[in-house]
Amino acid sequence: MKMSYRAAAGLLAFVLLASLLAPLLAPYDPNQINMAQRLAPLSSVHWLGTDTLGRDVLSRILYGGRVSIVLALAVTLATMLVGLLLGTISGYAGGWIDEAIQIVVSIFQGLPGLALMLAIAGTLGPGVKSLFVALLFTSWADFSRVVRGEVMKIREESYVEGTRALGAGHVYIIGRHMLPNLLGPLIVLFTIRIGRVILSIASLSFLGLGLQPPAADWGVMVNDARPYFRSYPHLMIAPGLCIAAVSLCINWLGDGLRDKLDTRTEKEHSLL
Amino acid sequence: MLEIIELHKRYRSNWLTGRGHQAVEPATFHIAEGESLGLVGESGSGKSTLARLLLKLISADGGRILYKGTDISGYSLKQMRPLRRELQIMFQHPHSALNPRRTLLDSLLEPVLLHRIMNKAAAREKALALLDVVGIRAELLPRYPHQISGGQIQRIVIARALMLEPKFLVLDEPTSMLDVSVQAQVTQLLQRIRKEFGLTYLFISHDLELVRHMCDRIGVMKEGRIVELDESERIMERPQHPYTKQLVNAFQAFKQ
Repeated sequence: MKMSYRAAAGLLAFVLLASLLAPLLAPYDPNQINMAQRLAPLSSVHWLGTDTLGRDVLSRILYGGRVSIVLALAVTLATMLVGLLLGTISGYAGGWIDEAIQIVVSIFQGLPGLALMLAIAGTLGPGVKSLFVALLFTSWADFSRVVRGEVMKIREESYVEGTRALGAGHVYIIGRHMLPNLLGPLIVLFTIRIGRVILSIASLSFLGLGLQPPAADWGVMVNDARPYFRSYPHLMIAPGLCIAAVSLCINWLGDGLRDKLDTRTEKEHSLL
Repeated sequence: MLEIIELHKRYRSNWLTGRGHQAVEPATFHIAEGESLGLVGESGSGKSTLARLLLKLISADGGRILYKGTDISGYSLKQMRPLRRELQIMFQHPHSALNPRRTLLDSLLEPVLLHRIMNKAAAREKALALLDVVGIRAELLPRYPHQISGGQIQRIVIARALMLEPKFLVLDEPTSMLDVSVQAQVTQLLQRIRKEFGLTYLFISHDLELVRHMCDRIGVMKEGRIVELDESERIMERPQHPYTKQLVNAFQAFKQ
């Protein structure tokens, strides 16, 4: 693997570890309000300063990573499973099964994402659960489209027909021949998607549909800091930088993994 | 050995209007045990479709397939399974013939492991013996398909088919994507194997010279229809159908 991939993996591991160990590492309680210390600048007492309510920004970032990353991972995994299942069935079966699934997919792709999310949040009430459902509803369709396309491409390869000629069943063909060849594109999709989901969580929290303000979350923190950006930019820069860095690292890592998993590009990359 | 009666297939492009095209017109012929039957015709004439129909890789619209006297046209996937060992197919494109993510060894062992005929050690031994037959060095086995040449892949594919000890082999333009010199080697190998293992071939090609060389009888296909089917020499010397005449003349002119 190239150096940049290692650096990305290292940084990501660092952020994940720091988030997981937040209770041990955080110098303060992330929700501890201290009006005497509000909007403190960076100092040895508060490394990243404090926000409008005097809460320690570093502690909030450490705790906030847990919510953002864990939720994004869960949402993306769920999206991928649904998309993979329906996309594979659709692409492999073809015929009327494919057409029926594609009608549903088109409906979901045609629905305006934000309006659907508002409706879901309105019915379920804002919170982690409605965030999860809303993100799943609005993104599985794209995922299944890509999977379907890949499956249709692989289905036409001689080795798939050859395996059928050997007498293999559908489950065997999908499991042994299709999924391993889908892995590369899936990982790329996963990384693109997870970066976007982290941003979506942030923007939904801004609309009051996701995580509620007292919770420490990067998206919530960016939005909280918005009115004070001119005078106290560090309040927005710190969580904003975390969001950007994590999405970027995941994308880089995805590129690296894809190259590593693709047996065909192995040679070219060892030359780099 | 294999008898086809009125086997046909139509592809519908629009299920509302029923528009489509007849890929294979009702075809009737037989292939005797140990025989090599050639199928020639231009691209899109239905040669490959017909071959896939008689192996039941695609479902026919009608007609019957008799294998060793038994009607197998109504067989389910499960019923076909034991027969799959005896009926094998080899494809045109070497670069997509093997799963790119599996080593050559894995691909070679797959057929026998899938059918649970023998354990891995025995399968390995058999694979090595067959590699010797097709002229591939065992050092290539840990490699991936993209790391070896097209000719080598086709040899591996032949060995892979032989792992199941088939009786009948469909060869769908097995050499058309190879260099001329390699083509000759693979053709020779196919002929040798046919004798050695007592195989029956259905050989699909658009190369009349090659088919004449390889096959006892030749069927000529045009627009989904078998227009003429006769012994190779007779097709070449005294073609009856206008299309066959045209083919043979074009071929003779090319030779001079």
